[in-house]
Amino acid sequence: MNQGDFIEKRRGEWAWMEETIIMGRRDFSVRASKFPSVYRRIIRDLNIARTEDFDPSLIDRLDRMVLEGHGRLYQDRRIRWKVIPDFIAFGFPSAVRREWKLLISFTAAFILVALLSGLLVHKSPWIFAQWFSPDVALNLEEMYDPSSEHYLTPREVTGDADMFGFYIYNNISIAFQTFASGILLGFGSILYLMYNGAFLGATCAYMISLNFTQTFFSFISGHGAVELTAFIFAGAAGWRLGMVLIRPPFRLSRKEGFKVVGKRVLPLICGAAAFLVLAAGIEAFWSSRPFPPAMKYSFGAFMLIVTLVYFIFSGRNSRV
Amino acid sequence: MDEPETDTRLSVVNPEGVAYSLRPAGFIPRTLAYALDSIIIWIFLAVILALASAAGMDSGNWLIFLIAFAVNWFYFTIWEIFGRGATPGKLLFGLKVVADDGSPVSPGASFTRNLLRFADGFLGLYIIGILCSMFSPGFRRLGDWGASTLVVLVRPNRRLAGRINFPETILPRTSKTPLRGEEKALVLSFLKRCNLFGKDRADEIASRIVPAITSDSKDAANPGEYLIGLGLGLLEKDAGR
Repeated sequence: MNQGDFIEKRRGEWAWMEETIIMGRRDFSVRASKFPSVYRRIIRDLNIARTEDFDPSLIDRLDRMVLEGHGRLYQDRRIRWKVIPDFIAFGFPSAVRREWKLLISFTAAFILVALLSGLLVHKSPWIFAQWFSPDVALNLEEMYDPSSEHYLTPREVTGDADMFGFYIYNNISIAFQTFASGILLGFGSILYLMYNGAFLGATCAYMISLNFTQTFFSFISGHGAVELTAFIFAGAAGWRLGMVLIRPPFRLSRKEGFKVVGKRVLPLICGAAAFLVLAAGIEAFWSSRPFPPAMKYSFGAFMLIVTLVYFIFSGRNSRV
Repeated sequence: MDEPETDTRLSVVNPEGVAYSLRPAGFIPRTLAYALDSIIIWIFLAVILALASAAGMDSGNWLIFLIAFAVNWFYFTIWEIFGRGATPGKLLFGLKVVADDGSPVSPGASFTRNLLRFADGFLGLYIIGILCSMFSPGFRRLGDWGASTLVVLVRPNRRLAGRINFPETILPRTSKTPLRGEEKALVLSFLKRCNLFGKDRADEIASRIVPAITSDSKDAANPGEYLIGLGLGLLEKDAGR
């Protein structure tokens, strides 16, 4: 076959293809039925052009058409809303169960660090302001002091809706950062998580030392279970990803390892984000209300049980 | 593919069994695209803040927090999902995000690679991302590794697609011994580039090629013109006239 004849013969369909691959969705759908067969003929053209050593610019042009055509043929941009209930009922809890060992060790480590720093601060409360900053200490004091004007609301905001927005902005950003920094050989996630554990433990002890025990614990009990599991999931997901760099799973190459692990940890971080939205809602619209402490504690215990039951039992029977 | 590459292209085999090449983008166009996207984000947030303060800030803070959160973490993802793999910055500089097999980037992968952006920028100025992309085939930053994606150039290479412009005094000719495919490609690419060389350089380069494809010393006397003539001949023959 010679190049000139080849070009003459195939020119029409190439022009058609180049026009079609940049078309909008509606125009494209008119041509969709013809598209796969033209695409396959152009693949053949590319192979012919390569074996016959045709002009590099021609091969380049066909190469591009195949690449772009591949994108159009295999793209799937329909949004299927059923993904969301499926994810909640099945995808998220089963992703959590699949990583249960890792998640339990992370939870244990988190609690250990919290207890340790709590004990230290309990012994000598003045180190709280030294560890974190006098500003943070003051902020917390104001927030949990029933006589303060910032009682149960962070200083940055006023009103429940504002608090909701602030918690989403703040908490989910931290969770995402915890996850993302995990890819730095896992260190980032660990640091973030341990810092948060230390902060939580220290804050608890500090509040006890100030005698704000009741207001503080009744505040955090409602959203505590949901929020902490989400942070731990984000950290564990980041750690998993970071470990691929050190030791890829199943003896895969790093490239393939990332492909496998990326799919496995994605539900964890998405679920963590969803949980944090829920936690922000509880924190802004429930925890900040002056309900009797007994009611808040029982709600907190209820949420903890619901969370555990959800992760242990949800979606078990729908495994295909 | 295993064949050695002389440039930065990556070869990918698609489900139909044909290999095509991806042209991963280096960090200069990507930095430019990122800069443009950052400017768009800043302007957008500034406009939102200005509108909010014009409207009176009493009760709308939560909306601003939500918008800031969404823009910070989802600007790139939303563009990459709904803009065929390109943010406005990437579009302007001819870049596109694809999965590492060349197929369109999936929402999950786009989400992952843009979450990991934070890790690439962990030490500021994207130092980690730049170092990582310098040392990995396909210029992949950590986010690209974690999400199995690539950023590729989508514009055609202008130099290769350029028009041929040759001296008109040279006549087309054919080789006495038929040329192999590789030799043909060599002659054609010489023809394409000879205008860039100038005569002396063209002769110098051609003098290394010509003895390999002809034994006639008359042809070798003026190698540049001989090769151009051969190329023109190939073009004529291939045009089927």
